[in-house]
Amino acid sequence: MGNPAAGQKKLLDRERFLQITRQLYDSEHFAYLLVDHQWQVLEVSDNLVDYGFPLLVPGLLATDMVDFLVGLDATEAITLPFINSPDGKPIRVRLLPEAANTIVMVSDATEEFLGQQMLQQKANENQLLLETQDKLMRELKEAKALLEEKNSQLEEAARLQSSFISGLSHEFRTPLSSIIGYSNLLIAQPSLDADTLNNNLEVVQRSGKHLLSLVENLLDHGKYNSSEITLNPKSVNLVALFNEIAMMVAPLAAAKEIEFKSRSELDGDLTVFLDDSRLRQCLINLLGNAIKFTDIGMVSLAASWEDDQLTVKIKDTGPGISSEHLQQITKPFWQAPGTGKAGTGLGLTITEQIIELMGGSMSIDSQLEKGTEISFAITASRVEAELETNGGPVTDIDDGMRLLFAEDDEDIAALTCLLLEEQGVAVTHVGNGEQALAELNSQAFDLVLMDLHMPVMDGFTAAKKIRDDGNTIPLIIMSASSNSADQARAQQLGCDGYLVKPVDIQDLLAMGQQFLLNRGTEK
Amino acid sequence: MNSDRINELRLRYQRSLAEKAENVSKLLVQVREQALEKEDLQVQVHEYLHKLAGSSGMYGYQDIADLCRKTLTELETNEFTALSERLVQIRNLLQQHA
Repeated sequence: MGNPAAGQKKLLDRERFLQITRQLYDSEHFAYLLVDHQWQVLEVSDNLVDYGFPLLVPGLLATDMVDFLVGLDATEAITLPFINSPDGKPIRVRLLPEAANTIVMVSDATEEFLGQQMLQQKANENQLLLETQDKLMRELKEAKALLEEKNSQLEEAARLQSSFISGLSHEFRTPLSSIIGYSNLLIAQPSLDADTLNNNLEVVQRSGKHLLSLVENLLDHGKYNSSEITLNPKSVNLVALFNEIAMMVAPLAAAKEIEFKSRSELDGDLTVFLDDSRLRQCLINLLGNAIKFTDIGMVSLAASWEDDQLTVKIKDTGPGISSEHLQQITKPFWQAPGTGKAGTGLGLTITEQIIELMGGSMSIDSQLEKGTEISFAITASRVEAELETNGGPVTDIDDGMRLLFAEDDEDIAALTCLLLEEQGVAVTHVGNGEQALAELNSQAFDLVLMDLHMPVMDGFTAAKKIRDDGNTIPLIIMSASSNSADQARAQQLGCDGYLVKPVDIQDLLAMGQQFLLNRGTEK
Repeated sequence: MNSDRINELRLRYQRSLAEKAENVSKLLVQVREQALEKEDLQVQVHEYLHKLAGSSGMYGYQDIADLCRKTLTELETNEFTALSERLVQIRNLLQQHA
């Protein structure tokens, strides 16, 4: 049997405990819900509604009214640190089970939640900083690598510059020594026999020409960099040009006791429209290199013409070029190390640039100790000779070339007419293309010299009309424009030559005479 | 006889340089006042410099011809940033030789 007094005391103690708990909750602004272990509501603090809870009255099932209680065991102590109250506030919920009941304690967790958020934010920021640091480190490494590469390039440039200056000095000194030495001989021995005199003068001339080609390469390199290099195409007899080149380089090969072979599959009368001086420059550069680097064996030059394309092959039995050096060989100022052959390192660069400018391409095939073959192909149009001449021009300057000159600029026209007349040329001057057409219909001429930019009718229009009319008279365009598009258009329209102003009258006359030779124009 | 006539022409050309400098100045004013995108102005400048390049070169003023040609190349590649500066340089050269 139980002790009623002890039971009464226990009940009083429990009441007292609950009272203290309520006071404590009130003082700490906690809310609570007292439920039995089946979630039936026994008691609710007044402030529970402040957290947005629905009105819970004793007898109701708490799990029917409060979603987050569903699934929880009322006999198990648990803390839910951050959940949203029914009105969206962050709250902390603790289940405090007793023998028969469970207190569900609810407290405001806004501060902890914000603190937690702040910590999370800090953690995120730290993570971001770490990632930024990693990125910066990577960028630093890349920048360092780039800097090292640039340094290496600068070192290479300095090496090239030094090698270029040393090569250039050597390259210039050799022909200069030759010129000075032989001219000293000529001064010291004025009464030399004719053969020795000629030989000495030829050496001086050859050395002078070699110097000139070196200077031209240097100047062209500068020009190409500033896109100022121009082509001056005209009618050129290819056989004559290749013969001239062969004659020029043969003595260089002979001096090194190597063989030089020139094999041409070109027709004797093959005349094409291209810039002969630029082609000559390419051939001299390539052949000069081949001879310079070949100490034993031979150098050969082969040329062929097919489908409006000139193909040139230059072979040598020199030391060859390694595949590693083949990648470098056309770079400006680059020279193969350890060859002991000085040079400017520009010859191949310029040659490749000129060939590209001529619409062609250059290829190099080489193997160490087996020699090198350099070939290139350029497209040019063939100039058809209409009347064959049997020696000597039909019309030459002495006979009084009749020239029709279309130019609207009075200053240019007056000076050009005077300079031409001084050379025995009979000039008819007109101020535009339309007048030129009228003059061509009214009298015979040997040559037309035409400006491009003129009022009433420009040079291109007039040239087109002349060719459309079936007139094949030699026609030279003379313009201040060095634009390659204008030059290409002139060629397309069937013009025979293109001269950039200021025009050298001797060049003009030489070109005119060449046309007369090629075409045999009748007076 | 011809050399006298050539000298006469050279002298005549030299006397025209001051007027040519004046013409370049006028172009310069237009270039500075108008938008460079204006095609008619580009054409006008191009035509004048083209003629000047040709004639100055023929009469031995290679510096003027070179500068004109350089400016023409820039115009043909739509590079107008230095046009005013170039025109000033050309005008100065013309005045210098006049």
